[in-house]
Amino acid sequence: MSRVGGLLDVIDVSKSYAASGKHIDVLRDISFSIDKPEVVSIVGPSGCGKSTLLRIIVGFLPPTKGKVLHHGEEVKGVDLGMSLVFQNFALFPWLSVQDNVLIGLEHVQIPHEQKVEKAHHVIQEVGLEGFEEATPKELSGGMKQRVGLARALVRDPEILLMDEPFSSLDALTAETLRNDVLRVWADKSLAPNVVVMVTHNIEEAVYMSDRVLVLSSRPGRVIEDYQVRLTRPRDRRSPEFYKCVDEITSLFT
Amino acid sequence: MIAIHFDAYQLIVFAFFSLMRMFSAMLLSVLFAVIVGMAAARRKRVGRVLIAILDILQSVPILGFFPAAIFFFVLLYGNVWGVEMAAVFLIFTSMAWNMAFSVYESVTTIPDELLEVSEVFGLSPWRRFTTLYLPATVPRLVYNMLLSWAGGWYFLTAAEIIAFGAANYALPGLGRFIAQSASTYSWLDLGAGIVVLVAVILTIEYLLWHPLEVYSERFKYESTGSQIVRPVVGPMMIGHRIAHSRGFVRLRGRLLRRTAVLSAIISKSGRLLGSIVGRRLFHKKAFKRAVALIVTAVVLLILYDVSPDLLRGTRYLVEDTTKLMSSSDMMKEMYSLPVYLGYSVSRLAAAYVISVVWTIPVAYLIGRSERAMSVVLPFFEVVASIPGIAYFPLILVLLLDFSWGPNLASVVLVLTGMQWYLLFNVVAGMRSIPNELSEASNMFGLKGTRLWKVLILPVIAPTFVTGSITAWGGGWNALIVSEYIAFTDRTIRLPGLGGFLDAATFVYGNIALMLIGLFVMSAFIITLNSLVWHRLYSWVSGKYKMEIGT
Repeated sequence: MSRVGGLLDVIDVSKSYAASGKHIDVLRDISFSIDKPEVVSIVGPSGCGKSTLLRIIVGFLPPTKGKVLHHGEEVKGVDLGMSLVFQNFALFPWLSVQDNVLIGLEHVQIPHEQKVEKAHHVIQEVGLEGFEEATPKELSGGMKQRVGLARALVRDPEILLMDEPFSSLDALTAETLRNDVLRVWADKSLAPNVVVMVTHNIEEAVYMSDRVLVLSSRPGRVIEDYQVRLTRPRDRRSPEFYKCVDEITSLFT
Repeated sequence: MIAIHFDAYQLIVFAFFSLMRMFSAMLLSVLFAVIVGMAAARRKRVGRVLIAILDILQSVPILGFFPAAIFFFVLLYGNVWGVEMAAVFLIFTSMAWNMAFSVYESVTTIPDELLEVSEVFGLSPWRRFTTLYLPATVPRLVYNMLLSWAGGWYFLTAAEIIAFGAANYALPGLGRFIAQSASTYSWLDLGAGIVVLVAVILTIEYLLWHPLEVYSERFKYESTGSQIVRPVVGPMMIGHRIAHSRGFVRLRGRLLRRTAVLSAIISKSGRLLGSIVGRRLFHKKAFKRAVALIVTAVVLLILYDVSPDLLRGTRYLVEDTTKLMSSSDMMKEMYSLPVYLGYSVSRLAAAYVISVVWTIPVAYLIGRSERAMSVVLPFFEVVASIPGIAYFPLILVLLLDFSWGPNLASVVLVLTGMQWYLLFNVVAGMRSIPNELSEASNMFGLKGTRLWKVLILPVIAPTFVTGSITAWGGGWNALIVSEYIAFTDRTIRLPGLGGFLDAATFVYGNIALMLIGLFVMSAFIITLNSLVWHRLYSWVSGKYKMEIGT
């Protein structure tokens, strides 16, 4: 079913831990492929291993079984074509906004001036112009996550991964940021073709994604690869929107 | 001189004496901490003064005052009891301050809602004390008692060794046993002494502190959000491991049942007392006046009792000042003080540099892997639980015959007083690196010096400074012991503040000279603390404190 050699292929990935003598299965036989530019959400009950799956895709954790291919090449260690946005932002509190964004270009071999120029461009893009010299402590939660987004985008990743990126923000800020992420994704001049996002918020998944991968509770398995066929921008109050949300919700109960 | 031959009976008796000193000092410290801490917390103006005083007392090296304390107490109570009291007093001063702070902090951080509840339901002061203040104080107080107890061993051993240095004042105890074995080159005795000391430390830890700590858990109220971060201290971690063993859990059950009976008795008698005294009595003016009268009377009585001794002390001081002025030897000592200070500080600095150089890489390795954590750390914890001073005589004997030997031995001893504070604090810092942040560093390819500069050094900066402050505190204390050591055949005195203070007591017996030395030392340390360490700490914690969600 999955055509190996796509943009991203997750093939039979399982993950288990041995904790204090007990064997814990976190993920079991996860398979899916992404072949075209799209936004994919991974939803599931808490503890089903969604964040673990994201960390396996990005190369932080080795799978116990199976493999992850990026353009047909196995992801081992850290893949430079991907970038991750963290739930709690993971900014360096002692660095300025600009220096935090520059961390994203750490491995890129270009002159420093060019890096600064690039960082400046991305900072502008996420709406943080004028805050280059501020430290994270001086920023609100929403602005911190904009810095996290800028840092992830500055290295031009083909795949942008996000680990519950809006869950520690208030509702209004989260909604603005969701639209910003969609705008960045739709803008062909900017890098990420694919966005993979972990969330526990089904409405958020329907609002943003083309596909919703629904995981079962532990051990996590893919119980549905749900296609969201709504036109963008999506109307949260439309009956079609609710239908999608209800269909996904019913998979859990 | 009394010769000690290896004698199990004597060793047990000596261990018993050492323990009694520890318990007496602990009892005094608890009383002091509860009374002073509560007073400071309840009355703002008193509080500010007390806290300032405690802060200074906490930062001066207690061992420096030991010779002076011996002098003072011997003056008051004669040889046997005087030295005994001086030792207990010394250990008390090493235990009490942080405990008083913990009571103060506990009382001042009781949530306002709880105070309002006790107001609304009209609890009597006694009930308020037993149901609110005391339980609120228990967790932090017990935790600080544990810390103080671990530190107390160091001072106990040191006190017994110092007192042994001045042969007339020898105290029966494990520290003296160790010092004496070393000075007579009796290796077997020395080994036995150290083994017994470690065994006693670990046994008390197992039988007393851990049940108490488990018991205190029940008084903890969870304040939402913020968590109290416990500093990691060596001997306590062993206890944690033991606390989870099966044998211990059974023992704990038995002990808890017993403490339950005890606390029932206490609360019942408290209630009885409350009803006898009458709940309103506390509010009556007459009652308050009576209490004030009794307190004043007691204070006056004590003053009356010690006033002849104080007068005698003052007379001695005047006499000694005259003696000091007319003795060219002592004047020369006094003029050498700046040089001594220089020597002492360079020994401390050398030991500090060595500590920093080895602890940071080791802490990094320990913090990085769970396996190193569970294998290497317990080893360090056991080593750290032995007061460095206990094996100092051994180091000294080994190094004595080299020309730089005594100096090297001094630096080594200071090292034993410094390095563990630094190691355990930096390990705690390494472990506090947020997972997401190391993932982000990993993803963006931070490596080598960049990783250290951007992630590791900033994260450990606050705990490193805390560790440095405590390390220098421990170092000063070790320094005092290390600069003056008496053997059967000779006495070694190194140029330095510690050597000066001991010589002022045991060679010249001059109280004025002693006070000058203490003044110079305290002034230097307090200046160093406020000019360097406190500033560094507030700068570092402002810049590098981690907050969730940054």
